[in-house]
Amino acid sequence: MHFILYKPRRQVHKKMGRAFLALIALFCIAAQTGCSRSLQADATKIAKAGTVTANQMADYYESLAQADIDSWELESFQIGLLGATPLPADATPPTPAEVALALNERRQQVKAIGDTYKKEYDYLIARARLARQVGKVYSSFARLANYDTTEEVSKSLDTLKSQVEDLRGKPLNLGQSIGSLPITPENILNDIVKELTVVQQNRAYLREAKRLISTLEKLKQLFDAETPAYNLIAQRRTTNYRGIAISLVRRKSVVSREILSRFLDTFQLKWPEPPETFTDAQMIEGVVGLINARATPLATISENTADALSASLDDLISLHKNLQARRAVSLTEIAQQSETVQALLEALNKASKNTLIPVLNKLDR
Amino acid sequence: MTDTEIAELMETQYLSIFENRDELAAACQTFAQLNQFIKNLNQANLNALQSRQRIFAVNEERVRELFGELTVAQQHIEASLANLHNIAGVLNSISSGVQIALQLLKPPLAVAAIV
Repeated sequence: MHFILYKPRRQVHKKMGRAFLALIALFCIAAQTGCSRSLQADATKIAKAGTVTANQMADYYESLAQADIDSWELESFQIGLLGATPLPADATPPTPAEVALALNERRQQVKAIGDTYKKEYDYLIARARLARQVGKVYSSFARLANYDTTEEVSKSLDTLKSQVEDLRGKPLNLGQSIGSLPITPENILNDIVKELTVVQQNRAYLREAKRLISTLEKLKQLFDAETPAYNLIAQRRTTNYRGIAISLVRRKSVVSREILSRFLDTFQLKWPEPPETFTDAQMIEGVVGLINARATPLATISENTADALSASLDDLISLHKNLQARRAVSLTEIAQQSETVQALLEALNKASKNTLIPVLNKLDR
Repeated sequence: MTDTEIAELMETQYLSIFENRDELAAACQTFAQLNQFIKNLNQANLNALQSRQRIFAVNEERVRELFGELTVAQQHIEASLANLHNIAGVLNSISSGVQIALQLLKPPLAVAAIV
């Protein structure tokens, strides 16, 4: 019986010694791969930058879509105004049939213009959805980056160790050491697994980040190719805001003194009451000049937003390439760019909602 | 000429009429003239908008492709995340090692139990 017990135990110890050496060898190999620096922090930075850029792009597209709605409405109003232009007193009045025909033709044209705006609105919303999809991708990437696999694996290893100890009926500790370090199979196994987990997680970051590079490059090409159209949309909105305000001021339809109040308040100067429209030609032209000056930055802000977003996409692509090359990933540049875009988007939003429209509202009172 | 150049040219043409619309409308002497002027303004607008739209239209396929690529990219990331969540891959390796160790440990224990 002693023989039966002795021989297998010797074989067990011999085999376990080999396994232990194999573990040490594996540990050394893993340490020598140089792949063990976790890229988790860099991946998290990229996820953050990508999410911000994607959301800003979507906001910009939605702002352009809103510009199309504004333009369509304002142009329809303009056509209505022009149609009611008084003719010279000696002009022959049109027959009812001529009026009906003219109105019918005009309605068809206005409808065609409306349909074209609607189509463009759909294009812009499709691009906004595309940008939101980029945001979703980075949201997933953020969850991938933030997932702590090492902790999960450590827990599982503890469970396995307990199982082994239960089966053995005593603690799993062979008590071997190398040099002054108390290296046991348990901590070697732990270290190897953690090392392999980091390698696996890094591979996931690199694989997914690499996959996104070409998509981002295509997205930037699309954005840059269409930027002239974006600028035209923004310019058109500005032209319409400005045009409608000028038309109303020149028709003496609105009280335009509020546009000057900000300057007068400085000197505590007050307009006479009750409010009246300007009838003086010079005053009217002065107000027109002020409207023109105020409208100009709106188009410029939109153009600057497009440029800054294009630069943000460039920075984002660079971050991905840095991760691939295992270079340091710094958010400094893209953070500055994002701040610029955010400031421009807020200014654009403020300008389109709070500069001319409220001025028109005030003028209209 | 590129689509962009055409769109910019059409926009310039439209704006040249639009910026002077009040004066041009006021200069009309008859209803027919006023009507023709408004028709021309609308047509110039339509030309500008349609030429601008061509810039978007030619990229529609690219937009669809990009959307598809992004959807696939998200699926891949989710799959990677699922792999990390389901650490079976890593744990299977460990389990294999532990199973070997367990099997090595079992015979003497079994014998010991018999004894």
